[in-house]
Amino acid sequence: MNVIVTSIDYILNWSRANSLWPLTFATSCCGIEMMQTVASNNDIARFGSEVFRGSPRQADLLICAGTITHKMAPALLRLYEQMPEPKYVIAMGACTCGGGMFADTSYSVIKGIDKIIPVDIYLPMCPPKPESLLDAIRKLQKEIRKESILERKKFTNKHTSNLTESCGLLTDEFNVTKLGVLEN
Amino acid sequence: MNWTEFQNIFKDCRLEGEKIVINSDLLKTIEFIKTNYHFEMLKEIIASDNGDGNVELTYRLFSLEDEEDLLISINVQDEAESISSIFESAVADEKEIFDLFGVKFIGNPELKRLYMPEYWKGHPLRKDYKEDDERLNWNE
Repeated sequence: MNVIVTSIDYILNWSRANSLWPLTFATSCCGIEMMQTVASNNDIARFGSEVFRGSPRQADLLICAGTITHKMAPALLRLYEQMPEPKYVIAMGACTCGGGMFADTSYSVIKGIDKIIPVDIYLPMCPPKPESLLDAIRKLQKEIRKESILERKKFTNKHTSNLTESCGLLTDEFNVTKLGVLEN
Repeated sequence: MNWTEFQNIFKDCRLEGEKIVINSDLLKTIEFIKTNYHFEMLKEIIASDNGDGNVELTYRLFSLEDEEDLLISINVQDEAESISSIFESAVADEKEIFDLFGVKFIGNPELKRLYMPEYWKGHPLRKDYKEDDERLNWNE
């Protein structure tokens, strides 16, 4: 049994790691560095990630490039939930890792996207250079090659339960805003 | 514009540098300036909280004919007159000021939050704003 699972894992991981299709999700200045990474000088296509998708349903990787505010948080959560398994997240930039320079004083910024969605690779710096993003993608590929389909299922189950606990407010509020009901 | 002529009509105003400070009749004053002195464009509305409970609103008007700016300033508390009947572009500016400073503009057709989420409590650019919403504890 184990032999079969291991060889299936090997093939699956090889194909998953070498064709990570990112979602176009650039919320502020880190997005400029992400564009530069796609352009020919740094050429993200060397690592199989050149196909930036506009729809979360076709994407494997969410590169969260930029500050997430309270108003943006429900949209981020919704995009993440719309992505099909297996899905990975790179938190790009200091703001997404822990709030960055907004962490102490800002009223509107989420202090790290790991409060909303699970994060695989943290990439600090403000903003990271294109080389750093390539490095993060390489590290994520290394992680993916170690994975097993059995463990992946456990990981997703754990995180689904966590999400519903911590993000009850976000999803509630999202429904409130969708219906157009006003508080205050 | 002719300052002495203006002061004869609106006696309750004074000049502070290049800024005209008025105490009341905002709507009337701006309409008068628009029709008589041809300041037919509203560039921006500036709001600032000086910490004494008042919000200072400054309207920057622009004359296309003379190519010059005019600043009109008024101190308000929680309510102010909306000038959206004179300048349509004021609607968005007043929405923003309502969102961040909590000034209610009477007569604005769509007065609701612009930048903050609709469930947000309080107006974050006020000096007395405190972030104590229990629903946001997950973000600590």
